[in-house]
Amino acid sequence: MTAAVEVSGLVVEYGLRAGILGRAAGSVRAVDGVSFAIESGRTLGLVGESGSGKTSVARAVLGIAPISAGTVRLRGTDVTHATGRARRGMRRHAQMVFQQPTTSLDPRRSVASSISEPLVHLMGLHGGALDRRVVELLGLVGLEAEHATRLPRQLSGGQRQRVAIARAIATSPALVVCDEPTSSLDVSVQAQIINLLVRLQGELGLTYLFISHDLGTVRQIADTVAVMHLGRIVESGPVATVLSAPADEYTRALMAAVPSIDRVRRRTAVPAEGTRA
Amino acid sequence: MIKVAPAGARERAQQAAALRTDGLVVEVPSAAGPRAVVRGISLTLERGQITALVGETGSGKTLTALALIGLLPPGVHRRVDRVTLGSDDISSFSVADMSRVRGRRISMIFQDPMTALNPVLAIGFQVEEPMRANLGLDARTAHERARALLEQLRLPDVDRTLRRYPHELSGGMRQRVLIAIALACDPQVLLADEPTTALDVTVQSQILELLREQVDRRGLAVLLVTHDLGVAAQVAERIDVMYGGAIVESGAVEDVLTAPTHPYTRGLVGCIPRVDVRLRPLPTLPGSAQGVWDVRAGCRFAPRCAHAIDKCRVDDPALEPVGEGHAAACWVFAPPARS
Repeated sequence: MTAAVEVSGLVVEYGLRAGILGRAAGSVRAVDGVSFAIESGRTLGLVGESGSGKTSVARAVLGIAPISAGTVRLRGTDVTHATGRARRGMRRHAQMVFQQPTTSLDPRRSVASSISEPLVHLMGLHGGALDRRVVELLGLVGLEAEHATRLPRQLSGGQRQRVAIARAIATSPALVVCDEPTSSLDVSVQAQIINLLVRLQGELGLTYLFISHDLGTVRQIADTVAVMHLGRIVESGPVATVLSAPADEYTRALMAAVPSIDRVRRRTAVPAEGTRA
Repeated sequence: MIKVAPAGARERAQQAAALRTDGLVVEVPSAAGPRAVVRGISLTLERGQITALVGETGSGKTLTALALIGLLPPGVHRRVDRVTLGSDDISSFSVADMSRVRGRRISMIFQDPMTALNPVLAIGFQVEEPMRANLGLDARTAHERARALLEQLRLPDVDRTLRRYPHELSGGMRQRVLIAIALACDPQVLLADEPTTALDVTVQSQILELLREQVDRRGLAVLLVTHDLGVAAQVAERIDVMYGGAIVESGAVEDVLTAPTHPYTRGLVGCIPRVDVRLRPLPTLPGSAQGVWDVRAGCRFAPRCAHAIDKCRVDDPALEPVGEGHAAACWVFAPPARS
């Protein structure tokens, strides 16, 4: 089985600037030697807190963060420093679903127009073939053909995220990076989106890099999980193993901090009788 | 027509409550006239307890909190049968009256501490200001109290923190400062609107513990507005679940979460992604909340409910007891006792 994506020894550094002239003043290392691979058709959950470097890893894989060292391979092709035509070719193969569909979709573009964009620019589709593909994609993500002419503001949060997913899978990418795709949604809608992502993976053989701080969501969607802390992966392995018997101290701390309804506080204070009728 | 529960049961809990409200209605303007987006709810906040008000986008939970503290946006109005703060009836308080109570006896913290804090004023000034304005403390006393308060909230290096500006602090530190400001005048009631939503889980857990500690120490009554049942489970004694502008289930945390009665609460509990087991597919609630503009008759949840009967689409159910201190508004699972 070939890996859809293979990252080795990845280092991402951002330059710091000082003073009103913006002189270079050293750099900060956001990702410090990260390696992982995701097999085709599988999901890697990347968890960690803000500042842990998980989003920088995703951006580096997509070619939109400065890579200081290490390599990124997509379906075996080294795209670490791809430019020009190679970069365009790579865009087709690595797509992203963002956290906020409200801001990741152009508010003045119709649903069909948003989904068409990658098809036109990266696949060269037009005319009837383009229209048919858009309708097909809407069907795949559980929307109707009638949604094609709507604007984002005419859709619910869950429907907007479905549009963003349709756009991301439009070019049949080797890798879909999902950056907290459910965290801005209501609880009752989150599960619908997770089920959609799982179904699409089964039908289309998609590979996901799924970034989340929510361990429950990661448990539901990921096959393997990598826990990031301060730019490094501190623990990784099959999701059931890592989340049921975390070996690393930081993973344990992270798990202990997650509020769970299974841990209802049984306080001695008994509520006043008949507080509400 | 808004139905209210029988009066007898309500009177019994009268004395102890830090804040009580009955028949709270919040109306927002629309082209077709005012629309009620909070539809006659009753809430009781007890001293030393955290009550979680849980709901999704558009359920009316934030407007409920804003209505209680008198901070509704322009054009949005409230009507209420009664609001009492301790033993005082504040139902008919004017804007000026409310501003004398706010900060002193009832205060509020918000989701995003960056926008709630003034970016150009030092932390010390912002914590001391309410003490000087509301309690008339002199600068030195206010400063000493601010120091003590930040220490209680376990902010590091208190003297330095007091001199710093909001942008120099982390999100968790800013939220602690916000709590300090809210507690500056030692209020009896604190309304907290999603206070930990913008924070990482480890920081969230610290802030919730701190909040709990302050509640126990001061006998503070807290209304914790949240969309996260896990957060409610961790710190609250009681839960009120809101849907479509009404409370659909209410009770002790352990009762509501271990034996949810209303189909909406059951759906919510069921679709929380679990860490211990993978479910395929995940249980879901079909559809999405219709939001505040839904004006259909009957139970607002009926269109998403697998158990809905004809009556649900016609009449709005009222809260009926389903256990001790546990009530639900559902024709199917909490039918009114026959009289």
